[in-house]
Amino acid sequence: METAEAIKSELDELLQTFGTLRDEVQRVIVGHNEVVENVLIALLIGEHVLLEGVPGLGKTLLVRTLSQVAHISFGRIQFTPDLMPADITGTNIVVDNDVGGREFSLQKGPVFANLVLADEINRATPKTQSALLEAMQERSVTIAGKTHHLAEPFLVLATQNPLEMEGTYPLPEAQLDRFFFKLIVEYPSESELQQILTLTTGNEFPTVKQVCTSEELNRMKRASRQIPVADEVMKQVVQLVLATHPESDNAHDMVRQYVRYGASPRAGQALILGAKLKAVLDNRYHVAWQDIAALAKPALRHRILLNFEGQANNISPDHILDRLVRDLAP
Amino acid sequence: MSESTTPLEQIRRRILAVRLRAVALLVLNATLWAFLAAAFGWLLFRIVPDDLLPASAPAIVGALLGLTWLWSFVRGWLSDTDAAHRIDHALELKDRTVSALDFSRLPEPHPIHGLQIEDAAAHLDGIQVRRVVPWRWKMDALLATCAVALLVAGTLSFGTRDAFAMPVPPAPALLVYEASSLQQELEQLAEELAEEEDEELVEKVREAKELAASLQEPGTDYEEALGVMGMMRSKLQEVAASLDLASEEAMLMALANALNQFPQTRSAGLPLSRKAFEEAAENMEKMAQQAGDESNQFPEQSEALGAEAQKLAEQAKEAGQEGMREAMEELSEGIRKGDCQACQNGLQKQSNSIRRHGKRSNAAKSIQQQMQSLSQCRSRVGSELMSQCQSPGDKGKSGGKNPSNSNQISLNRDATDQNSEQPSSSAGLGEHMNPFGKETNLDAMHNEEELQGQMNRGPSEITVETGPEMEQYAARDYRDVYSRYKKLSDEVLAHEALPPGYQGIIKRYFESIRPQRDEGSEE
Repeated sequence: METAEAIKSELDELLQTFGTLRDEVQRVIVGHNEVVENVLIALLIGEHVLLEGVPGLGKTLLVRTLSQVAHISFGRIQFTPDLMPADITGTNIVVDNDVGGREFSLQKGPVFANLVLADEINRATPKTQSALLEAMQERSVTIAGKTHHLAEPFLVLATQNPLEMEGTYPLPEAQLDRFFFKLIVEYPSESELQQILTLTTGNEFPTVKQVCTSEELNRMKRASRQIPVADEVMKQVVQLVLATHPESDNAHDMVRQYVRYGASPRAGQALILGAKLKAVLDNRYHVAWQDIAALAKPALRHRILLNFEGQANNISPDHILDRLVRDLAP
Repeated sequence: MSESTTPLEQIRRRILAVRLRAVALLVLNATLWAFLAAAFGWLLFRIVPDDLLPASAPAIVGALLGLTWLWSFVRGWLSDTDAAHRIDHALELKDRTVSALDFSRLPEPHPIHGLQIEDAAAHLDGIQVRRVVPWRWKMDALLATCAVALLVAGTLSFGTRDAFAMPVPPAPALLVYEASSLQQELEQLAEELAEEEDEELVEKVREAKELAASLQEPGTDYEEALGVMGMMRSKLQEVAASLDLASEEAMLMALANALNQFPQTRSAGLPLSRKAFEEAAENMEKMAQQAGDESNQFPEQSEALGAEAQKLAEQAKEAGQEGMREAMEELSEGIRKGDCQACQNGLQKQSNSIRRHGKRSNAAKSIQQQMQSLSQCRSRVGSELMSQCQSPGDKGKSGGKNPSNSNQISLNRDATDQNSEQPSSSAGLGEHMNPFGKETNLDAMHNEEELQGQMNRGPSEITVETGPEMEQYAARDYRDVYSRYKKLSDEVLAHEALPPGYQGIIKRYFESIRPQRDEGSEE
């Protein structure tokens, strides 16, 4: 069993590394503090993130910067309607061998990187989108009947554009559920925009330095998972997840009126895991309701499916989650 | 942080301190509220009459509210966890105390649990309990001040209760007048029935007198008076029924016939036949005295008289007239045995019985008269009530709770009746709101008849024209129909608010049914 001192030192290291990571990323990414923090949380936990925002807000830059500071391999896939599954996973090709013969050799796809940027994921066909499913959930890829395990850490950062829905293929609920967080990238404020313009229109572009390696990321992931959760807080998480189910006894009135399907158990896992890291960042050794409340929207908004009435009344999942968090607060 | 105690003990001590303070303040607060409620109840008791609000009502409501409040408050401090939640909330400790308590209960704690408990203890170490459970002294002071003010106000409000009490209007003068006359008549009736042995009868008369007296009580109105008079009437009817004069009188008439058969007893029989009961009783008393003085006064017809007396005794027995049966049996026994004393006793008893019947007969007449006056009285009160109902605008003047003016008019009714030959000064000055009168109801019967024609054969002409057969397209051009509906859907999508997901569905649907290049012309 680890000693208290060792745990304390691990968590301190995690806290320090996280701070440095954040600082480095924010040298390039102006604003979006909450998005950056949540992406870093997902990176340390090793889970996937869906970023939604209009073009030009720095989503791709954020992911690229992340791969640089964490010093992990980076693969980018630009999703288009004619993209094939093999373009993601890779394929066996015939190559000449040293003895003058020919043999099949695996040409690995971008999914074999530690950090995969799935840009405009909703532009590819469902067939291609589903090629990511196995990789995201099982962390392995099967090519020509052979299963290849992906390196740790592995996380997919997918982006999608809420506009221009024409000719797109919205992600199915099953695939949405595999994303740990769905983060909304908002338009920058006036001062942030001014800073972005200053930063990007000169001759010198800020560079970032490597902060940690993939091994360190894996170690921090294990350290954050040992943060305990009190039964009282665990009950509150369960209450929150159940409250999103319209057929549940615990369902909120608003949920009964506007929601068709509620959050899955994966939502609860995302809340707890994210909250553990939030607790470490707040110098605590336990998870608090405040951590859960802060992550309710990123972890649950893509897992709540509105019914027709909800869509017709322009109700957003964020609106429902705000009410739930407010009403369920102890 | 003290070195002698563990972090967990420190947390528990803090929680205990917070709970103790919470309970102390709760007791103080509850006491102040109870004091306020009691003071309010005291004030109400002093100023509000019982018929408006019983003094116990505010006390009960206050106690219920207080217990509900107390329970809701106490519930939040029942367990350590509840108290820990309060501490975390008040001091923004982010569930530190709750988590520490929870981890302390683990059977095999991990070192990180120990770290968390230490962290919680460190955060709780410097806290001030009064921050968690603040004493809202301003509120308490306000409560105490209000309570004292109410208490003083209640104590000083001597006589206010009577002032607040609803004034009870005196009974209308008409009722007072009628009640006094009814009481006099009932008094007379009671005197006539004074010697009556039937206590139930006397009791009923007494109840009728009480009812008459209740008409004079303040607050009595005409409606109530009519009800009381109805009860009086039923009481008097019960008294009249109890007297049962008919069978008794029939027996006395039979006795009169028997007495008239003998010259010696005719002096009592004749007045009895005339229903002069007092005279008959006196003559029978004289006969009784003579029977006592001279033995065997009627030797010739003594046997016949004894037989008649015996016969009458049997009839009286059948009729349930015990007094007469006893007297006649004694008389017949005396005659048969030649016992003058028994004859005298029998005649004396019969004399008393006749006198009593006379009084009862007079009482029955009084009751009849009483019932008649009661009916007249009801009629007068009823007409007064009717006049009030018909002129509600004048209620304030002549009716309602204080109809003294109206009663004045009613009291002078006799005088008015006497002067009714004089024309009223208000004649011809009335105004009717509907000069055309009521619309006549259509009560006429309508007979509706349904006439049906009869099928019959008549002249008709049928012409059949045949034309050449022609081929036509039964279906419209699919391309035309599609373009029309597509245009319609485009307009709807452009102008009506639909959820984005459904817009896509509609577009995809129309795309899927779009005619191909060579399809439209064939269909």
